[in-house]
Amino acid sequence: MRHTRTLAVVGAVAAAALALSACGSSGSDAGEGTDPTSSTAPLLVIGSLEEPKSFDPAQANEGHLAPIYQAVYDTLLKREPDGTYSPMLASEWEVSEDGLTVTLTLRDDVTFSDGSGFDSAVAKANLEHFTAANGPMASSLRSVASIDTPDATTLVLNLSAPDPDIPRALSNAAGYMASGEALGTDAIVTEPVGSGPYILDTSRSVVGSSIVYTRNEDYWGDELPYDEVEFRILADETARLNALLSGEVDVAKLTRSANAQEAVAAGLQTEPYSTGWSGVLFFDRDGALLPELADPRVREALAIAIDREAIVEAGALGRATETTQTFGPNTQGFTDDLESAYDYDPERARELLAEAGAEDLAFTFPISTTFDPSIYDSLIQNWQDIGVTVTRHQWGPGEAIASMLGAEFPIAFMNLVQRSDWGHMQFLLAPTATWNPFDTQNDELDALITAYRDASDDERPAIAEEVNRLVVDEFWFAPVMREDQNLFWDDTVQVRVQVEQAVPSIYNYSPAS
Amino acid sequence: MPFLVKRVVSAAALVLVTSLLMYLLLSPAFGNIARNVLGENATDDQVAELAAELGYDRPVFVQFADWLGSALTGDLGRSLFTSQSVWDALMSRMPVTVSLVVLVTLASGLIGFAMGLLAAVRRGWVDRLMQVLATLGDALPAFLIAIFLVTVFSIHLGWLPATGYTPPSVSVADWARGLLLPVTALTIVAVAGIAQQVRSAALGVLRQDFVRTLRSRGLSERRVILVNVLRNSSTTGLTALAVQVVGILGGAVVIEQIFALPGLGSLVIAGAARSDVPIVLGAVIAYVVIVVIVNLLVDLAVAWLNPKVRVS
Repeated sequence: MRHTRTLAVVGAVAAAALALSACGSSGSDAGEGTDPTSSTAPLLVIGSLEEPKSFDPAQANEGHLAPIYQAVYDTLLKREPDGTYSPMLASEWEVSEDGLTVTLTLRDDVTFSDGSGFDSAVAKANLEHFTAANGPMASSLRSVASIDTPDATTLVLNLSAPDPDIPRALSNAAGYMASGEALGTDAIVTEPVGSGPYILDTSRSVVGSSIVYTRNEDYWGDELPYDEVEFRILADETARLNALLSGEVDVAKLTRSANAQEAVAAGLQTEPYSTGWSGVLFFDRDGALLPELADPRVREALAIAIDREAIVEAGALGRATETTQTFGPNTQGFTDDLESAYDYDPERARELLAEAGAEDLAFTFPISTTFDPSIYDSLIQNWQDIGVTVTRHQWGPGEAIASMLGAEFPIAFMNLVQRSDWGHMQFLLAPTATWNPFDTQNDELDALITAYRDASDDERPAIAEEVNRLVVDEFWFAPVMREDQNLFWDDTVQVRVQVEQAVPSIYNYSPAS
Repeated sequence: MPFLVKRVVSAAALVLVTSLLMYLLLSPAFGNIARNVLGENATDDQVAELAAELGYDRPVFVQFADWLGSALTGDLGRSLFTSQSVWDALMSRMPVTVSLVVLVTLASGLIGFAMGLLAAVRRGWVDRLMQVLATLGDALPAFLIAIFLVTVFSIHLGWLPATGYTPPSVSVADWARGLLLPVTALTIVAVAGIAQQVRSAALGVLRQDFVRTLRSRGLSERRVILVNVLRNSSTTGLTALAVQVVGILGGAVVIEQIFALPGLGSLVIAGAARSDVPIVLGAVIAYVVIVVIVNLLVDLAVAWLNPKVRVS
């Protein structure tokens, strides 16, 4: 009797558990309900590594955050998947011959979601707010000295110096246009008011969990395919992978090669593209902390001692391309012969150290938890094999970038975005570049950078290539590889990857036919 | 001093000491905060401007006093990385963690008591099986169990969601489905310790004379076990449960990450990784308050069950 009753209870519990698992909505099985004959679909779910700090466009950032802002804010110019520029809120633009004036003609048929109109005064207010608010991308408009608005549809940017990256800035964070009435208010931090293809659904968005957008029925431009877009915030890689494998998100990016292999094995789709380079940065090229590093032979020795092929296999599981240049394949400075400017040669590395009198070279090498430990193990072993003494220093979470940019270490391993030619020069190579923390200066390089800035569009490619060669010949860096971006998506969606951007723009998704 | 007032005062002191300790532990990273907030695209001038604005270059105790003064007025500040008010963040995330902890506590309490009692009463192979299961539960980390459960039930079978949380106000069924795997993972780990403690306590009670006396008076075995033995074993079991709750809170931090549950655990991990000082301090206070309340409830329950420990 007792056993029968016990079994009955267990059976009831099991039945209840099964009922719970069967009833209720199936959550966000994105892609369901897609009409195979329609070019629209109800929902796109994107797994996002990050969430925005604020919906104030002045606090916008690029990379992983780009599509989140693009959903609600249009930019003055639009950057296409192949990196070219097309009209958006500006129907046309022109850069003067001396490069000091940029004139934009603005659309006159755009209204924001609060009903207010877009004109040159609103555009000017947005750009000035962007510069003054000290946001992450504020420096992208540092060349803008003043802004004129001769009429409602004309915007004139007066530059302090020619800026080859002004179109890029206006297609990126600096170009996001918010309603003039919402700009500068506290509300805009959590409730964006833009003219974009979607409107934020604040009732269904949860900080740290999800950002839900619904279609802007009054959008001035071509409507995007999805009625709703949800960004599922999945900072943890395991959670993001599981969400992809279980179909809870349509598309997401993975950072670990091992997880990427799992996604490949599960039949998810991907397209190899890279947006950055990984390798060693010889920050202290003047020898302030590590005197030996001032000698190019020492830097060359450390560079040619690296077995790139082994690191690509062990660290990236083959999902990367070996390289010896920092300029990206889509830049003017990139050249095929600099992909393998030097070979792995530990014997020659020993000779160079001896020639430079640096046989006893020793330095501390910082380790970040961001990268696969096997990369560090390989690098350190390679250098120890040529007689260098390497001491490890473990960075804690959140320490790496501040430490590097604070000139705390002479050498470090890092992955950096491969920007435009001008961006590359400004962020990595110029004496005041953020990623030149020891302010290394090279007169020849400085002259080339200035020449690039002042040159015509036809002259720039050759100058950029010269810059690249100089940096490679001087061993300012020891690039190792360009890793594939591990963006994966299921078979309900089509994706066009975006050149020089970590994830596709919001415009690049459509239902699979 | 009345019991509750004494507990409130000691809780306040605990919050103060813990938050100061946390502030000191975070302080070496203050120099990185401005750069982490702005990212690698910002210039050094921008970073310096933000650093001055945030005020993390002031002496640590001055900063702490400033924070404490605001906290006492209910202003815990805003997240440096999401701009969300810390209070709002805690209020929105507390229900998720509390749901998880309460469900795990109830499940592990019920199952742990049942297992421990059964092992003590039945002995033999039942007892040995329970020992093995308890050992397994102790040995296996919750995150490993969680990954196994997700792989089987979410990815391969598609029965339950792998990530996310639905508030019960939106859908009770989805809320329950979303928590089933996380709760199971944590319960498996928590139940081991409780079952062991209840088993030991029950064995001791069963050996006492009053149990033989009750049986000799003709009371049913069920009544003797479920009323008398259980009640006399419960003090030990409840104390073990209280200890487990602290462990559950800690385990929930990792589980929330794996299942992308927007609870206090995932909040504090994200905050600690990027030195989001206001968020970390707020979360620490929340955890201390939860632990204090749990311990208070257990003390009250033990006092109710055992007249010897009641206070007037």
